[in-house]
Amino acid sequence: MEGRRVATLALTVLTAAARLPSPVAAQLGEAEAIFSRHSSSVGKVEVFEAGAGAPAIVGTAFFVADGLMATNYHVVNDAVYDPSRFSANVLMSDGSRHDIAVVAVAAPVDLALLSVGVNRPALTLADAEPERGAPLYSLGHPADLAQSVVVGTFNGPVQHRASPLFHFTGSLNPGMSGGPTMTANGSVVGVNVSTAGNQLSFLIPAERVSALLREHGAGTGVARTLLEQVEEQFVRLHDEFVGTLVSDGLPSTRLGDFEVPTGLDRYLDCSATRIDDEDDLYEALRHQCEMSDYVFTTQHESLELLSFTHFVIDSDELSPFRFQTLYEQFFQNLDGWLPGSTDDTTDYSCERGNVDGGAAKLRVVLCARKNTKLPSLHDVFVRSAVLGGARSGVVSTLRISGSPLTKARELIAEYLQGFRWIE
Amino acid sequence: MDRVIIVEVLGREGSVSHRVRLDGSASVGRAYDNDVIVDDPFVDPHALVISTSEDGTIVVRDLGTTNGVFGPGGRRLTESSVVGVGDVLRVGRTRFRVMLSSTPVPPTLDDEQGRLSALASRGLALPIALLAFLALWSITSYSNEIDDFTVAVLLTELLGLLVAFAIWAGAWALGTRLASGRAKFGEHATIALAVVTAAMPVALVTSLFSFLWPGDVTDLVSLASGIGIGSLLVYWHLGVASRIPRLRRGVVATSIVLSLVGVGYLAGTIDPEPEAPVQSALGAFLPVPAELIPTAGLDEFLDDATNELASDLEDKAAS
Repeated sequence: MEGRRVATLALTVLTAAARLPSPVAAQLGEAEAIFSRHSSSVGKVEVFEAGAGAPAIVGTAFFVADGLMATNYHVVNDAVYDPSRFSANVLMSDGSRHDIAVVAVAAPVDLALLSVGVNRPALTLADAEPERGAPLYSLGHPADLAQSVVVGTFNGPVQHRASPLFHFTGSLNPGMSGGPTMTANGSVVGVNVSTAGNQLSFLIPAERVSALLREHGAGTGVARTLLEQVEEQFVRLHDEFVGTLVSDGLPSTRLGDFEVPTGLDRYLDCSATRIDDEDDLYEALRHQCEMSDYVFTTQHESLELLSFTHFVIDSDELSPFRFQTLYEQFFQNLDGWLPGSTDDTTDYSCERGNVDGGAAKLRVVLCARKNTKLPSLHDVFVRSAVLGGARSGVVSTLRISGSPLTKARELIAEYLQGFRWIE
Repeated sequence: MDRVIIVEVLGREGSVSHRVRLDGSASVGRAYDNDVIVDDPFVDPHALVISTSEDGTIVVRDLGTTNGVFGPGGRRLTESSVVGVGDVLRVGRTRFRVMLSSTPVPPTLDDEQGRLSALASRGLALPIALLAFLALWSITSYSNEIDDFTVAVLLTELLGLLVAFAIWAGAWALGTRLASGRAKFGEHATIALAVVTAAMPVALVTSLFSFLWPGDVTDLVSLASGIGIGSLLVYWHLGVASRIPRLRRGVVATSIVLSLVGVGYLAGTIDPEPEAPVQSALGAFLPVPAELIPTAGLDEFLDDATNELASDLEDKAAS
């Protein structure tokens, strides 16, 4: 029964392929060639927890130099955080299995280099972006299946990020993380990293792999542990991008009776919606900005690098006392705002006060937790509300992940100055 | 010298069951020819004799009892022993003590308990407390409602609260009934209503403080005022329910409330929610015009806050 269904499915695809216009058919033909030429340079990474018979995580890696494979940091980060409990090996397409060791990481861009006690031909890393629409072929192990090739097109870099990504229209699935995506002539354009579903897949530019290889070759970071490298990379990332945000100034936008800080298009993806329920005695506008970068600063959690949300609330119907009750509920609402608890961070500490932001008086609650494995990094949560409105106000939440406190402080200062009443 | 002695036979709970006043000496036993007749099968017909000497010393002489005569601390009294005024002695299963007519009595007690109880038991007290509670609660409930405020909403809330009051007062009444024979439900209900009503304006004032000066100090003030109100409530109930003297009652009431607060705190420490510190930092809001709200400068606040956080988190990471 099961076998028949697969056969029928295969037939449908084959028939469809036969009817496709010739360029697509040609692309599918290339896929066959790519697979047969390069699949031997690609392997399946399996991360095992001590004592467990089956892998905890499956990903993909490919040869980029003699004895060195590249994969995603998130595939092997268990082995970086807890090497005594997690070990990793790679299964090559010829069925041979080899132990691997993580030798270098670029955590903010989600890359890792693995050393392997075996050699296969290294894939060529492209040094330039292909044309938009160029056909690309991705190799990997989707859902722990046998090595597969996925076809799609190149669509250039993605906005709203601190670290660049390419948009690829092939369907990447879990397990393909860390695999190579290449042009028809076999040069690697990027490393599979994530998907937003429906042919919306993302690649880390190959140029980042070259950079990591150069750093590793130059011996940068040799004296430090991998975790120290991760910590330093996040400190540098926040230095750079907070520096840019603060020096350029956060732009502001009008929202109801207020001006509120918003994001630079280059880094932040902003959207606004009206929350209007007929039964409610108030109106609310929601303005949200976030960076699509996710940071892995703990073993089990990934957080947005930066995000903030404003709720402008106003009511013609509620009395000032009742409005403040409503305002308080918005201010105190934590549903979905705080990441869960983790072994790698302290719990939160908070400071609060009524603060003169320059253009408006604000209640500010500033909370942070410290990463215990990467001690200079903090996850920061800022809840603020503009004070003094009888029937209107704005409650905001700012979250910064994996940042030194001093850098977060600079950004918070810039952000809090962006609130203003519009007369 | 004073030779009049008073023998006080004590009941089970230590209160005096009967007194016999005698001149110079007293014979004690089960037989009817004694000065002090004891109805106790473990006491011999002629058990002991109590006498006073010229200098006022009290001497107890055991007439050869089967079960012995005992002084304070279970010391067995031999044939003739000196005992102190007011020492509790035992013969058989009967306890007694010897006083002199010159023995001073403690000062008269202030009947403050009676007054407290009286305050809550006056005819109009319950309706007044109920009306005051209803009025203040309705205002509070209205200001806390962010959806349409209807009489149905208010009545549902009130019904629930009145049931809670009835259960609370009922529990105290049951205790009072067991301790003193009278339930005094009306008094207990009045006390609960009066204290909760008084707590509402107090809570408004403390939240105004925490709104204007959010921080640990105002948290402590709120906590202290909560403990104060809670202690007052228990103190007043205890006054109606028992005869514990004022000072001890205050200590008992405060200890009960403090231990409840302590248990709550421990429960929070044993199983801490990660968001608990954040939750407790987000305070109340009140409609105060911006120009009346004291504020810190942005840099000053951020410097202080990040320094505090840094050292706090350093400690947390170290522990």
